[in-house]
Amino acid sequence: MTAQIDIHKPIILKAAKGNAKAQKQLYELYAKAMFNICYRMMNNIHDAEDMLQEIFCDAFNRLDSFRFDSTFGAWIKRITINKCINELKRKKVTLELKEEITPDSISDDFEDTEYTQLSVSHIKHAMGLLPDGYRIIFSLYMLEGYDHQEISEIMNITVSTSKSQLARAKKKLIEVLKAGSMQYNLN
Amino acid sequence: MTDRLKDFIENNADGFNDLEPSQDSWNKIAARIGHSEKVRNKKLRYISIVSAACIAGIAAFIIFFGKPQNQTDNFAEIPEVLEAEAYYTSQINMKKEQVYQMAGNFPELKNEMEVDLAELDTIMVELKKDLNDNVSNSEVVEAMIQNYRMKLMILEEIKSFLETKTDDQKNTTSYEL
Repeated sequence: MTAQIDIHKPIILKAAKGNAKAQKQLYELYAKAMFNICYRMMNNIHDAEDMLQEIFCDAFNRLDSFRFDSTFGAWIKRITINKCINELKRKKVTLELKEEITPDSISDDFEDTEYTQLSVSHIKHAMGLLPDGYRIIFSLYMLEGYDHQEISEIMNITVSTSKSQLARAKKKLIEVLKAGSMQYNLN
Repeated sequence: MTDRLKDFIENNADGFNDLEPSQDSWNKIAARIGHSEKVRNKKLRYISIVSAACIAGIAAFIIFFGKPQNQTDNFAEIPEVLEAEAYYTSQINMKKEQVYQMAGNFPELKNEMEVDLAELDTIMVELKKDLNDNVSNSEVVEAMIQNYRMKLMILEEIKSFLETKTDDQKNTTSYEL
């Protein structure tokens, strides 16, 4: 991780001074990863494109405030997630984050997946069918690598809400996958 | 107990990150942050045109509305005017030399710069004629100084642009990833 900071630091410093070439290099390094996060958050290619532009413009404007306390990747990832959540809130998307604790639901998931055939394309498709709130917490935990404490800070919810929503999201996703595999078997 | 779903996603992370942003995405960002090549060149061109237009305006004002002054001093020979002319001319020549040395890979930019400086030179010739005719000489001297400053500003702007470009080219190999 430290090596990554060292490799990119000269580019970041130049980009912070407004150097166009350095800014383009940073874009080329991080655009694809951020675009995929945007897509998972927004669930729509067009919105993901718009968000990507917002994120990089904002990041370049704020780059002189970046102090290398984290990697640039972690910094821009956090900007990406915050911007997407703000945009979803602006669009008044219901995030369905009720305070519910279902302690047994997480362990139930392990059994549920045992007999479910997993494939990348099916999981991606099923994620797209999840309610927005479920999809976001599922993405943050399962794909973006945040823990429940971090998710609770990002989403401004409690840790237990994050856990229960993740459990529900997983359960729902497995249901979709199972329904999908039954459909594939029938066809 | 393991989470089979999480393990599967972690082991197939590439498959979940296979979307590519559109080709046009960077161009839109570059345009918004004002760093595209075209924007920069247009900005340089705009500065020089505005500069030339301002000076042409001042010169036109002096030519058409200036009143002859009843004074015998020949402004063109006043030591301060000669001194200012010598100072600005040497500064401009020095900057021009530096820009010419750096602009080898940017012939288009060099041509545009020459056109802009030539426009300012034409205005300067007119101003010098006015100075010799003793028409509103204090305004003419002011316009001449502005003309020199405009040239310096244009050269400085181009030099700083070329320095950024040269710097980028030097570092490209090191940072190409």
